Amino acid sequence: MVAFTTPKRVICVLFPNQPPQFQEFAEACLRLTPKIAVRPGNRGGGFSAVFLEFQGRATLSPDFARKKIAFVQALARRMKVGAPAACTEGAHAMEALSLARFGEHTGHASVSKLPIDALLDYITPFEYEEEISKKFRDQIPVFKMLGVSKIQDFVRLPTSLLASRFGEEVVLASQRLSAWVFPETLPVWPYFHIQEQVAEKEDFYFEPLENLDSLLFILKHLSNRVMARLRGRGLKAAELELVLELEGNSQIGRPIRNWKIQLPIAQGSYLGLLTVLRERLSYDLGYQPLEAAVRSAEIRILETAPGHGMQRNFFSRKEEEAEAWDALVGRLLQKLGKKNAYRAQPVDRHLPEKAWKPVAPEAPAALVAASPGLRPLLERPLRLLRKPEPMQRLGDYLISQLSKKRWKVSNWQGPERITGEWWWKNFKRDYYQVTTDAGEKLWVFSVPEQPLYQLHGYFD
Amino acid sequence: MSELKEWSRERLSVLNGKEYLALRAQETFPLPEKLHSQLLALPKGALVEWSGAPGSGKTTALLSVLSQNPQLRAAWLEEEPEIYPAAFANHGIDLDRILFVESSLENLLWSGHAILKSGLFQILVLNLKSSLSLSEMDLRRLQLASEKSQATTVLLTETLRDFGNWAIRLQVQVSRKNEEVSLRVLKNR
Repeated sequence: MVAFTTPKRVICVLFPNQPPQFQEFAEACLRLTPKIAVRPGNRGGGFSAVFLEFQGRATLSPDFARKKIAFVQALARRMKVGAPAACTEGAHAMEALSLARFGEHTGHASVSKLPIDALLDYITPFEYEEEISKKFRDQIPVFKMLGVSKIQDFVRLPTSLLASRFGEEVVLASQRLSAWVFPETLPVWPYFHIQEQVAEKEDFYFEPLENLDSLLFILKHLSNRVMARLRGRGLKAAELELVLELEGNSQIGRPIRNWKIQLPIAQGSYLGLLTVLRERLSYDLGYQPLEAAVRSAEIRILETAPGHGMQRNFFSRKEEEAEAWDALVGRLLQKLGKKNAYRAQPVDRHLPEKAWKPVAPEAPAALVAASPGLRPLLERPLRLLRKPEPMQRLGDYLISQLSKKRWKVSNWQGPERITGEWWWKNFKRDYYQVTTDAGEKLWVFSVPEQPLYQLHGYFD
Repeated sequence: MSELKEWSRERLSVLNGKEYLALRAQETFPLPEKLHSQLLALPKGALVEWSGAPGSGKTTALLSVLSQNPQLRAAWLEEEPEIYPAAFANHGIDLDRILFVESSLENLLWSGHAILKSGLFQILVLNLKSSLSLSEMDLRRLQLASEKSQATTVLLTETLRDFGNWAIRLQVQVSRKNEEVSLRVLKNR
């Protein structure tokens, strides 16, 4: 006999109340699935929940929901939203919610054994409705008088009596309990609105920060949350603003310091971003310290770029390496200048110094890409001087006009005439490979009708 | 017989799962024939000094090692870069494997550490001009960073420097005579 189990397609993350970073946490969950719904807490401080729906054959795997739940719990810890009261799986949002609310306490993993109170979750799973809740609560004593204390008792009641005795909401709940018979009664999955601007702020009015280490500690959390939200959207940070609000006093006119940081390479991990922030702040605050303690810190993402893959692959380190690559190149470009870290690409030009060009080291795919077909050249030196050095030939000697260094030549090979590029800078050079007595091999050229030779490189 | 086995084990070092024949100190051999056949080992997680006058062939020798190990990624760090990437193709090097970094003198070591710390590169080539003097402390730091990231840091120098005796594991002097590049291993511990 083959046992049939309904796929657990929805995970409900239940919080005892609505945490401050509830919306941000829900946005970060987008990295797991695009289908997210939230149930905000009511004004009286009731519970709140995030629903994640999954599709596809993977949901049939018994381990599927367990792995996702472990991931969601880790994400909640990382974003410091507080520990969820429960994380449960269900065939739909109503089942997952009722199990989250009552299953944990009663120890039951089946809806049928839950108390009758769980029926309310089948009526309004996605929002708290005051009127319906009140009406239902008034009916609970009636159910108990009839000996209906659990869902399994409720489903035995004749459905024909439900409408007349308990009203349409209870009929709806009854139909939703048999959702496989009445799929049209399933509630509409509400649209999840994401916040347009990704910004994270933390206030510490009672314990203002007075040193860089404690500020970086806070910035670590902020970066972590910002990056988790961006990852949920499949984006990376390209430009950000850091705003520090200082404690006001009579000497500070405007107690705000802000930095707009344009990241040369968009960052997708908080570690990469934090390193850039640390270096920038260490440098700037070294020159111009803060006038007062920091009262609040905020990171605003001003510009984004498309991110790498949404999730890390178990079988390759490609995503991890791409993040590490971005972090490294971002740091180098930030510190050394925008053109000072690059990959090189051959260019089809005759002029030796223009035969290659630096390209932005952005594409992480290059790390694993196969060789794009190397073009064999004639023998070229491995060191090329940026500016050729004029030399004079005196018998067997070459004498540099700049450094006055002398080379005794033991062998000349050449010339190799390199010419062309009439459209840009028509040139004509005769190149020689010169071996010296000291064992050096130089690349020297002469221009016809000019007396001096030019040292252009070394076969190093 | 047992002595021979012991000696063979000393001479073998492992790089990326492959065994290479390490070279004894004071051994001189020409490039490229013998280098290709014997496969010069670059010790992992260590500092290597690769020395030779401009035009002596030290970069050629280093690229030969790189071309033998196409799976290795390298970062090439220089203060005033004179390296000519267009010529790398002649040595069988895929330019996508190499990140070139130009750094001012004061940031050269910082850049080296950042590269090593990333763990992305198996080889860091640091071209040291005569203007940069490295203290023993700098070398020790580089050595520790290389050890931690299991990368080889190659210091390209024009003349052999007095770096002290302990930080550099492999010291190779490259010279050219009669059009032939040869390598002399000064130290290999």
